[in-house]
Amino acid sequence: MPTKIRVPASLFLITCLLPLACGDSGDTTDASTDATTDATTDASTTDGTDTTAGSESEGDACMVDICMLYGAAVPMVASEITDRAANDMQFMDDFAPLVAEGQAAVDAFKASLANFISDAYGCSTDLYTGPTMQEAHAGLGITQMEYDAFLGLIVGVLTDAGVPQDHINDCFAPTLTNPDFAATIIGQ
Amino acid sequence: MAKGEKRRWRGRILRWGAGACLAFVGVVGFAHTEGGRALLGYLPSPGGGCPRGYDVALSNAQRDRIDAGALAKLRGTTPVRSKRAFAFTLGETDRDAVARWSQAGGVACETVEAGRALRCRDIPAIALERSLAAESLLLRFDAEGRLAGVDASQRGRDPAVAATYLHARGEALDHALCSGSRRGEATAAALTRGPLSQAHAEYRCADVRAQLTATNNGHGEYLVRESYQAIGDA
Repeated sequence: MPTKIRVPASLFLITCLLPLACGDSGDTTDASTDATTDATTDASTTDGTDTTAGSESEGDACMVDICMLYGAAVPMVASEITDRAANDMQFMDDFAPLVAEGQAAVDAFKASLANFISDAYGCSTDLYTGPTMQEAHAGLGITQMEYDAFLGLIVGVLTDAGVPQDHINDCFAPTLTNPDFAATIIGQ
Repeated sequence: MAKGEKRRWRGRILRWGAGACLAFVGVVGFAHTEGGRALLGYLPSPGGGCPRGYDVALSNAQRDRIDAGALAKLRGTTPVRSKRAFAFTLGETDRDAVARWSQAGGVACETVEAGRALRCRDIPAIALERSLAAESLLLRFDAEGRLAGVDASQRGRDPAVAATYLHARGEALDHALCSGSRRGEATAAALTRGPLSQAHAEYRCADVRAQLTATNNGHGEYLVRESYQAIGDA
């Protein structure tokens, strides 16, 4: 059996999300408050990080204002995504160093992730100040399957948080499954 | 500028450049020692550590403890009936056994996660002792080299295949593991309702956690994941 050691491609999670923690660890309560007021603004960050790559296709079938409905829940969702990734077979190894740094580091990461999500859905502007997705994933060779596995994890979080299936299909999926957005992470 | 003066300036720049590089390497190096760690606190990184994470070198035993801590929250009360996971047994199967398995089945595997895990590709269904092949199989070992977790992923374009597998496998795991919980319908109709439709089953036993998931990932692709994790002492 070959025993070649390589950089784990599943590092995508830690490199997709961990750099966010370096960018902004601000108060996520503010983020969710902004989520209800900045729903229509573009959310490209000042350093050129386009966090709205998939938002253009969102809304065609979505009949609700997701920022109004779910904006306040973004910090909780970000927290749950992080916790589940930390115990998921595919991602827990990537999260172990973050967990080892202690709860303060994990909380900072969650706050930054909440900011990214808020910006990505156009609920806020410039809350996320981390690197672009391309920069964060450069050289990692993230596969489509790894990306898809992470989407599956997010669906579980949304469903358990009480988001109806229709809203996941019509409002959240367009951004997450948008090939342009996925391409900023996959195969970099 | 005279030729000699030019040479002197070039020499100065080179010396300053080399000195600055050495100083930088020295400061960064010192910051990663036990005595210099306080310097890292001045950097804008989570937890005040090295922004690149180079100061967090975890031993296998430390990783085992972190994994156990993460999974402890998911521990149920009923002991699992069987620790069988595909062709393996959690807590028993070791690396040599997996090597024999991969050789016998003609499965290619490579070491990942700094030696803690193996990633195998294109595994036929029969080698997994189930009815579905796997595009990818991740096997993670504990510090003593025993199987701590295993995860199989398979993508396909037929929602009926994903739904049928999930339904049948869920029924089998109900008997093999412990009582589980379900979310979403394991039917082709439910999976095709829209992108990110999902059917999921989870088993939280006292010593094993298992998950079975089929997700519509959009663009006509369905991902079936099946994973088993041993829950150790935190």
